Amino acid sequence: MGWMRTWFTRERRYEDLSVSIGEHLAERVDELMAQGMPRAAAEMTARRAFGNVALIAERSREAWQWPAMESVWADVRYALRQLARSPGFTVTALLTLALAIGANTAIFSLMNAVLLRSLPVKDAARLVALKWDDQGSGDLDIWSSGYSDYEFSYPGFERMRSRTDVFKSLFGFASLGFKRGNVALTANGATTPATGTLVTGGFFDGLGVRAALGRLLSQGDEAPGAPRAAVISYDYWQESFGGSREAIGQTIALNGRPYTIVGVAGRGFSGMEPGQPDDVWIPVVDDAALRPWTSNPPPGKGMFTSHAWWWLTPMGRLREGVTPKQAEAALAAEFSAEVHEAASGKVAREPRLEVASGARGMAVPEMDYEKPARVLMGLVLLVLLAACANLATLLLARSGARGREIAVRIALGASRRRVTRQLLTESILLALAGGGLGVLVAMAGTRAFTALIGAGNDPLAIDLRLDGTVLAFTAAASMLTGILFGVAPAVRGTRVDVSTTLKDGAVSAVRQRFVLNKSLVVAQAAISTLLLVGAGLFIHSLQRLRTESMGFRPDHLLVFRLEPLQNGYTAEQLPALYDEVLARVAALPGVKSGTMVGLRLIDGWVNNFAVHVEGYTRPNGKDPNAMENSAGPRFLETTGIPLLAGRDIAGSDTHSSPRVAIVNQAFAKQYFGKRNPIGYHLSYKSMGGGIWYTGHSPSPPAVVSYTIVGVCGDARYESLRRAPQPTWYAAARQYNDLGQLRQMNFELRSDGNAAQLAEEVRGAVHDLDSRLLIDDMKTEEQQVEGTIAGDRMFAQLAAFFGALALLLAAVGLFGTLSYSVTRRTRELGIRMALGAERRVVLGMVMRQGMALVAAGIVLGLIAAALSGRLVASLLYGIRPLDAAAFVSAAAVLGAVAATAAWWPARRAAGIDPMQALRSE
Amino acid sequence: MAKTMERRDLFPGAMEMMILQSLRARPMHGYALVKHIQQVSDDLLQIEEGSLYPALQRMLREGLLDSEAGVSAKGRPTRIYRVTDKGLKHLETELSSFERMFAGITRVLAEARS
Repeated sequence: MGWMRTWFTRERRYEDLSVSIGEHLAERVDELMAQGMPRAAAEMTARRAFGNVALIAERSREAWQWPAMESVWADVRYALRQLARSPGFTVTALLTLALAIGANTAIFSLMNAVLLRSLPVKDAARLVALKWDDQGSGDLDIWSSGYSDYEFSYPGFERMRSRTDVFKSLFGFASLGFKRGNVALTANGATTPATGTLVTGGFFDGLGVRAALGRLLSQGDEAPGAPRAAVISYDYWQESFGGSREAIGQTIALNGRPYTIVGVAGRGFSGMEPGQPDDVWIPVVDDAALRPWTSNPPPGKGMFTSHAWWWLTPMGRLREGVTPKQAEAALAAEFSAEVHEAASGKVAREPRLEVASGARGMAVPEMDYEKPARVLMGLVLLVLLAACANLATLLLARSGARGREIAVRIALGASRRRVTRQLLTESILLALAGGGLGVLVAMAGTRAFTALIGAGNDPLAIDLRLDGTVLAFTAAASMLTGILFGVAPAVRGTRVDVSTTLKDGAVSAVRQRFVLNKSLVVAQAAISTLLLVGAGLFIHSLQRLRTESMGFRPDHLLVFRLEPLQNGYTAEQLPALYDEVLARVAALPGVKSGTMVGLRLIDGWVNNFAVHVEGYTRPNGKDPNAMENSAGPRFLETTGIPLLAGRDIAGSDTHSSPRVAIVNQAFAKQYFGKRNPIGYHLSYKSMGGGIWYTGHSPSPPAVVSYTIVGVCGDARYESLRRAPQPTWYAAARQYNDLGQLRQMNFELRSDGNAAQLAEEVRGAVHDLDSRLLIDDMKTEEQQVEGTIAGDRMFAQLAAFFGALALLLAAVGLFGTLSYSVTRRTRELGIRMALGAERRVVLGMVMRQGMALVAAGIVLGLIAAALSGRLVASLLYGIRPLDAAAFVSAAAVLGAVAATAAWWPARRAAGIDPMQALRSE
Repeated sequence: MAKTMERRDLFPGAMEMMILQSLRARPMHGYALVKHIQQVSDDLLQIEEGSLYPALQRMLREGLLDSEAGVSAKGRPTRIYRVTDKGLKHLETELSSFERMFAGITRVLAEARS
């Protein structure tokens, strides 16, 4: 407990010390005076002999201190006093820092969630995924979907799993569909869309996930004939069962198939794909209602026996001491054998097997989000940099005003290093406090983000929690920020000439180069220009997207989707069901017309396959690929795509009438030139797969042929970004492959507010069959807006960051010019006394400010031009060197800067020469 | 006008030894200590006042010295320093090691001269 005693007795020790030193000096003075020296001279001599009293006292006190800690603590207390003394500065600095660091924290949490965070499982870093690359040969004649390059056939997976000399464990999984809500889950009597994944028996064990309740799946559950067991996620358990233990043993249904809940996975684990959290896991099963990726198998191939159907994603852990490279070498032969079994013909180029990291699971969002996240991170880092420059200018101005205080401290014996450290302590303290506030800002910010991200049509569940990584980033960023904006002013601040400062007073004290202040203003102007150009680009791009003509009329359109296979229907029942649904909803009051469409417009999905166009041959003899969609009766009328020739799809186009199709103008132009396409035929080779609708013809035809009956205008199909392509619309009710009827969208044109139809539509469908789940009902305008949610978010964030940087630049310019005017009061007074007009002085100060801003604008524009290609892929319809964005950025900054410069300039012009000259 | 405060000691521990030895004779206050060393050494040694107080505080901290309130010759309040038992023991070890070192140095110098 020695240190405690030390702590308590220290005050007394300090007192003793100052008594001792005081007496020492007094005695020396007495002695010198006894030798005949006058008191003043004696005191001077005594002090000179003794040395720097304050410094010696400090050194002496250090004997009692934990040297570093103590003086830091003293610095902190002093800094707090100083900051409290100028609340205006402190509040401004804290706000600036909180916004800048908060923005960085929020964006970093986004980066962390989509790019960095590992799966929340035991030792995630050691997870490996198997990946293959056919090196573009296309030799592999296989069926795959979903994570494709990461997928293997079941026999291929078993082959790999048998290599226990390489793997400690290997398990596999396959999602039940591409989107969230890929399976209809019936629990407690209610059916809702949920997200499910097929897993092999070793899944949970291999990942090291524990059960929160009950048991997890094991190898036995995978065996044929085993009772159907399901594990639900912790979140789903909380939501649907209120966390009740009663959940275990309950029967739920997945797409109508009964399963028994055997356990709840540990909290935090939500499956293998960040952004698409699973609600339920079931053992891999060969069941037409529960297909991996909802894809149909190749005809006649068993799910567990076929070498040609690659649907399972293996992942696992390598045996201790086996490196990924060694594993690749060890598995090469195995993989090659598998490939040769899968390939129907010769394999020209051997595909390569790769052992990749599985630490982040199947982080597919990475592909879509990596670039935007990086660009956003770049934008906020620029904001932080602008904030640093801004605070540095404020501190410089302040250190000018504090010149006297600093000079006094140095005169009293503080070393320059000590004062520098003191000043740095102030800025770091500010930055840390700003960082703390920034976390609060980030918490609000991430909520806003989640809302922005969730606004899309296919929202990702991104977990923007501020975890340890994020907080560590914030702490480091704050610390660095403090040093960055504090170091130059601190070093500059202590470079005062003590005697002049003390003699002349504060104002004329820091007669130093003004270069640092100026370059900081230039830097701020440059950064804001860069950010404003960015904002301009994203806003302009969004405008282009919004005003792009779509070729159809999205107003007054309501769209919804059915996927009846999930609700207990068989494929054969679908055509009649769809007819019935359409008849009912189209008859609702307020509905002008209704139609069905295989893929709803502007949803990011398209059909695209080779089609034979009668009378058209490509030089290489192959059929061209074209976009295809299936359309119900009154398709053109309902969607508002103009009919140019021929007729719309009609109610009379049924499975018992000849197949008909409509082509768009681009299609007609490309394949028929000046000829009239009506009456010509389109055909494609039947893939022979799927489920054949026997009502149409008793056996699958080798070639499916359609007669063109109409030509329509070009309309966007996949997205707003993609211009209309040559597209043909096949009559939906004449499809032969029922697999393609698995989902159907219904579009309704209302004569009033489309959104208000929603309840009636639900009622009508519910009346028909209460099991039928209506999926993703929204107006077509919401649908379109949803596809540009990302663009909108970008434009909003970029505009926000640009405005922030602009504000900072304006404050920085204002502060610097004000300080400069104060410094030059005397000079300006002399000029005016000598006859300079107020107008001239005003112009002089304005020119001084605007010259800096102009330099910044030029630098910013150059930087924007150079970095434009980094954002090119995120823009639509404009080039990164968009004149409008560049000009408006320069104009906005120029105007705001002129306003900021106006006040100090007017103050300068208002100087009273007499007063200015007398003031010193 | 800034001064370099840290001037090298004769050798490490020399000042400490002299302080302990002086205070062993009688407890003294700081100024008296400076005077005492100056006089005893016939002005050959002068303690830098700037390094005296840090040294005293260090020794207090290590428990070699103790201090108490007292008055100076002029009747002003000051602090009187005295050696503790631990300080005496420390002085003895320091002295014997110093004497051995000094003997060694002397021999080397004598040989070099002969």
